[in-house]
Order: sequence, then C-alpha cells, then structure tokens
Amino acid sequence: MHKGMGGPHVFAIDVRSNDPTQPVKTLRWRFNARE
Amino acid sequence: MKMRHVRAPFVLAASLLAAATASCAPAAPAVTAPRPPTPAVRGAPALAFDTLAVDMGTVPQDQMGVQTFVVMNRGDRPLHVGPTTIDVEQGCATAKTVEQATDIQPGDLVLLPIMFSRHTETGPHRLRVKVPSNDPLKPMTALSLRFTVSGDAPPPAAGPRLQVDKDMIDIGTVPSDWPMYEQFTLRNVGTAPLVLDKALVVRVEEGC
Repeated sequence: MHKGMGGPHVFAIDVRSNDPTQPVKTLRWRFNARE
Repeated sequence: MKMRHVRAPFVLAASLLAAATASCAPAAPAVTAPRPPTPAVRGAPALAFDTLAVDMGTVPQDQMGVQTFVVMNRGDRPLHVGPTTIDVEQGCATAKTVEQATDIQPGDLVLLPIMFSRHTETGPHRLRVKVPSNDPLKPMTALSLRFTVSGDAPPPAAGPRLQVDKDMIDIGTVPSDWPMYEQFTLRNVGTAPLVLDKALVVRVEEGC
C-alpha cells in the first residue's frame, strides 16, 4: 500500500470453474487502511 | 470403512502490495511478494504483524484451509519469535500452527500459518494465537481469529464441486504502508475433475 490509499477497501477475485452449481465464486478481502 | 481419496488443494495466494500496485499506482513496478517497511526502531528488535485480528466470516465444517499472519522485524536487532501456541476461547480446537521458534533478521518478515482441519463443532469460534518474542516492548502478543462454522451438510456431489476454505476475510484496520499477504485454499469435493479458469483478476469493489 502507499500514502494516499487510506480508508476502507474491498478487493474481490472471481474464480470461474466448471462447477455447475457455482460457475463464478467470488472471494473478498476487506480491510481499512490507516494513513 | 473406505479410504477417502483426497485431492491436493489449489492455493490462491496474493500479496496485497501486488494488487494495490496494479490498481492504484500503475506507474510503479509490480511487487510479487510482501516486503517489510523500513526499520523504525533503533537498538532493539521490534515485532509487528500485518494485523492483530482476523474475521473469516462463515466457513465450511471441512474447511481444511490456512490463515496466514505476516510477522515483521521493524528493529535493527535480530528478533526471536515463538514457540507459538493457540488457545481456544470459543468453539473447538482444530487449528495448528508452527511450533518451532524462529529468528527474524532486521527488516525481514516471515509468514505464520494457522492451519485448520475438519471442525468438530458448528457455530461461532474464537481463537487466540499467542506469540512470544524478545521484543522488549512486546514479550507476548495475542492474535485473534474469529469465524463461524456452517452446519450445512454438503449435498451429494455429482460432478465437479468447488469448495473454498473461506470466501471472505476482514483483517480490520491496518497501516497504509504495511505489507499484507492472504491465501485462499480451493478444493474439489466433487466426483469429476474441476477445471479453473486461469484468468484470475483482482477487482476493486471499494477503495482504490
């Protein structure tokens, strides 16, 4: 992280697969960067 | 009882430095591994973590994944860490960690994995990971892990079935110049080969 990137953040990764019940599984990473 | 064939899990690991650099500062060089910030303490070792508390949300009963803390030495003397122990404050005891003590040189970091096997209880869990060190200001640091084990039995898995050890992680408030590292464990709990799309892209849903 860098200066100026403070505040709440949510990053997400879409995992696409051949699982018919969930072809797209989203994984989330949440944090609050303090300056 | 039949032996169960266990397929090797796929681990999706990421350094937040790499993701943040790509999304917020495209002119900066890409970083592929977490790096510690500049040493901030003179004349002693200085223990720091990427975060002290993690909320993993709801996890499956057969989680079998890993939660990782980044351990840093921000001083200018060698840091001795460990042996690490885990206390169960709520729920069942199915987590293990590295038992051996280790030395971290000034400016270096190591990863401290907390490994989960199958949970024997459902409901809320709270673990306290105790990390002793020779940091004169932090002879004992307690890390907190929270999660809720889902009681839903998995449906009969005909065909490929993707299972993740956690689909959300909240590491709370962290310094903006701190290195961070996270990994997700992906497993196929179905009866047919699971094919993952190789194009994994980090999206920014909030922040920059």
